[in-house]
Amino acid sequence: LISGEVLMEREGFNPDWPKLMAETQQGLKESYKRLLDEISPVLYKYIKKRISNADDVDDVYQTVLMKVHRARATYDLTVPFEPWMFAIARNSIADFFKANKRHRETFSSNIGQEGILIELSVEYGDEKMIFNEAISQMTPKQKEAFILTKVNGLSIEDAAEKTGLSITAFKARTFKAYKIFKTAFLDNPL
Amino acid sequence: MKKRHEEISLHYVDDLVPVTPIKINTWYSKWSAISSILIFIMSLVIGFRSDLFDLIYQWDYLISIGGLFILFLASSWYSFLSGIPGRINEKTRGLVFTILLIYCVSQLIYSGYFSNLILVPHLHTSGQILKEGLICSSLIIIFSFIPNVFLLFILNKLESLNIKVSVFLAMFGTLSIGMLILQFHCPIDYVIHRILGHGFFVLSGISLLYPLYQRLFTFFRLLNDN
Repeated sequence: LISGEVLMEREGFNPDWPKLMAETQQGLKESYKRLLDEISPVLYKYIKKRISNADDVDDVYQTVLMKVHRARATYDLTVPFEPWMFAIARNSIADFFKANKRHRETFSSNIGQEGILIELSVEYGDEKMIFNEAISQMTPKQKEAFILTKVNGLSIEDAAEKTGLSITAFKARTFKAYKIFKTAFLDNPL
Repeated sequence: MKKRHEEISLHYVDDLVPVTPIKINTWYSKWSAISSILIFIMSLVIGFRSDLFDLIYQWDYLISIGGLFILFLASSWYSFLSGIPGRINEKTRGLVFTILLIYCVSQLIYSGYFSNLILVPHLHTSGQILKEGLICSSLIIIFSFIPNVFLLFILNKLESLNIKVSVFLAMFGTLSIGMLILQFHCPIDYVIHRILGHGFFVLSGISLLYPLYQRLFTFFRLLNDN
């Protein structure tokens, strides 16, 4: 599990971005150039983590930049910059996956708000489709419970402690998630 | 790759023009104020039901009005928020469903209690039920149409990342305007009329108009881009 702050640090987040965006809104080209130079590698890396085909990454990257450019008036200086920027990126990636349902290569699950980000790569084939389908049927909390125990391999006790739940409550949540997962595979025999 | 990124960035830098940051709260305040005035004016034009002053002392009627006002204010607020990247999340989506639930419950309470559980008045034919229902639902849709076009126009100034959600919320926000006007006007209180004419027919009609709204939204977006 990677906390939001660690993630931002790793992604090269710069606290000057809100200021640069404010200057961009005023039409200052130098600030906009600096902002784009700094966010471009971050966005590219973010997209590349989720889509493996280089051409597709380029397409989505250009879409994200276009949306950032078009949406610049909607950025509010009083709120943090990165949720605004990553919302655009996340949405463009989701649109890409929607348009290419059959060609999904990586499943990314963004759990909670900016807090926890879990990357989960799955193999090619029908299993992946069923896996994605099962995961999409779970609520965010069930998804979190499932990934903590079945993917990250934490014990029920450790995972419950991490989420701040009682063991019984966490067990019930995991059981429900596992049931959805099992049903998805039973309904779609390979 | 780096060179290519620079080329793309330069293209957008060259295109840069100053923009006024969108103050969502101001826009929303203006929108809700104008819409409230519209509700009042249209209610005056179409006429209030004769027993309105007696009704405002009845809790079930007030609940139904309150439910519609919540739907009107909350749906339009969230449709505005949906135009700002990163402002609508899973929690707010849950809230939207809660709002819809409040609306449904308030209307059911009204239909059930106020109408004294009269499903259909004696001697009412199915033709009459249908006719009354269609008139009310048509009026609701007509009164909602202009505010909706206006709201979609505003939404296009924003950057909605999920057009379906934005259009859906805008539709409910403005439908509630028509519903409120009719709630002040319509004197027909039997349960079937409330469910059909003020609910089911409206939702059916709106689901037929939904593709039109989406096209309208895209059209405004094209106008903006050009």
